[in-house]
Formats: sequence, structure tokens, C-alpha cells
Amino acid sequence: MKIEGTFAISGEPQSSRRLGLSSTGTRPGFRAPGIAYVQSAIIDEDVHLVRSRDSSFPHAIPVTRDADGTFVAKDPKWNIHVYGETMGELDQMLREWIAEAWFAYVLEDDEKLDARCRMLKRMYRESFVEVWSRDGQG
Amino acid sequence: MDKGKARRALCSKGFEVDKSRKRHIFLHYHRSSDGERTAVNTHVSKGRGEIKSSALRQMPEQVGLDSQEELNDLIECPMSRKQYEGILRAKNLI
Repeated sequence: MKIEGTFAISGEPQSSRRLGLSSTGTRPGFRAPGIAYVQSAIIDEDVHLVRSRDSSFPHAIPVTRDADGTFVAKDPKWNIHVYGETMGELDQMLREWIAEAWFAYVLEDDEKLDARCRMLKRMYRESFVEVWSRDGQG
Repeated sequence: MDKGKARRALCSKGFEVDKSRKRHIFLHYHRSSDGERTAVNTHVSKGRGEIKSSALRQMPEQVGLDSQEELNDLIECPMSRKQYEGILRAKNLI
């Protein structure tokens, strides 16, 4: 299958000034040390997931097109298999998947996960930092 | 294939909805022996109607099957949960 290009998660968080307390314990109003070099935020209501500084999450994921032209992004290591009829749809899908992985693996108790999920939990947890918007801090 | 029918069928075969996201509902397979969540998953867009053909083409691989026919068997019921889990185990997916 021909590789059409790469899909990179890019762009700054909506507004870094709005980022407050992170799960790593940084004081509100200060950017967490781990997010200085992040490329993107995954937004889920009031929660932003941003790449940690030493994230091993891939900067770019190869995108292929299937026989009917659907854009497909796969990375088995990270259990990623998303698709879209346009690159924009694929972008949205990938962001939703990362948010889902956060909820399904990172925020889940170890006892409820099999060995592969526990490994994914560790990988995602080490690669992203959870940051709350001011409005979401309650 | 109808989205609701597919969701219900997958849930009857061991998939569980975690929490729906903005535009999609994610379904994760849980092992029958201990209920642990596995890394086998798929997603369908929210709303009613038919699953897009682009999504249908990706679903078999997402859920660890080799073909559209196998996916149909899983959803239309000829393939039992036990048989499905046997396939996943044979592929070391669970």
C-alpha cells in the first residue's frame, strides 16, 4: 500500500495561558515543566492532554489510503487504527482515540485491564500530561 | 449495516462501551474468563443509520478478524463469543 504522507499532531494548545493545574502538581497559572515543548492538546471537555517533554508517542504517524481512498493511520505499538474519508476527519478521529485511550487505559484500575492494556496505560501515561482548563478545576 | 444493530451485536459478544466521545462510540472487548478489558476495540460514529462503507472496511482488522465475512458472522450471530475469543487467542490478541 502506498504511503501518501505523514500525519503530524501539530499546533499549540488552544491557549497556553488558559492552562492551569496539571496532574503533576504544578501550581495553577504556571505551565507544568513537562509541557513546555508540547505540540498539541487533545481536548475533552475541560481536560487537555498534552505531550510530555520526553514523550515517546510518535510525532508523525504514517497515513495510507485503502483501495477506496479512505485515509488510514495505524501504529500497532500504540494500538492506533483510525481512519477518515478526509485528512480532517482522520485528524479528529486520532484526537478522539487518544482521549479514549486515556479514559480506557490510563484512568482505569489495573485490575480491570489485561497485560497489553496495562502496558498501553504506562506508555500513554508517560507520554501525555493531563491539564485542566481554569473553568474545569471546579 | 445498521449502527445500532452492530453495536448491540458486538455488546452481546463481549464488547463494552467505555464512554462515548464527541463523535464516536468506542467499544472494547472484555475477556470472558475474568472480564478484563483487552486492547481489541473498534468504534462507530454516533447517530442512527448505516455504518459508512469506509468504516466497515476497517472494522474486521480492528476487531481481530480477517474478512468482512467473519465480521458479518460475528454480528449476525453464527459466530459465538466462544468461537470469536478462540480466534483472538490464536492470534495472541488477548
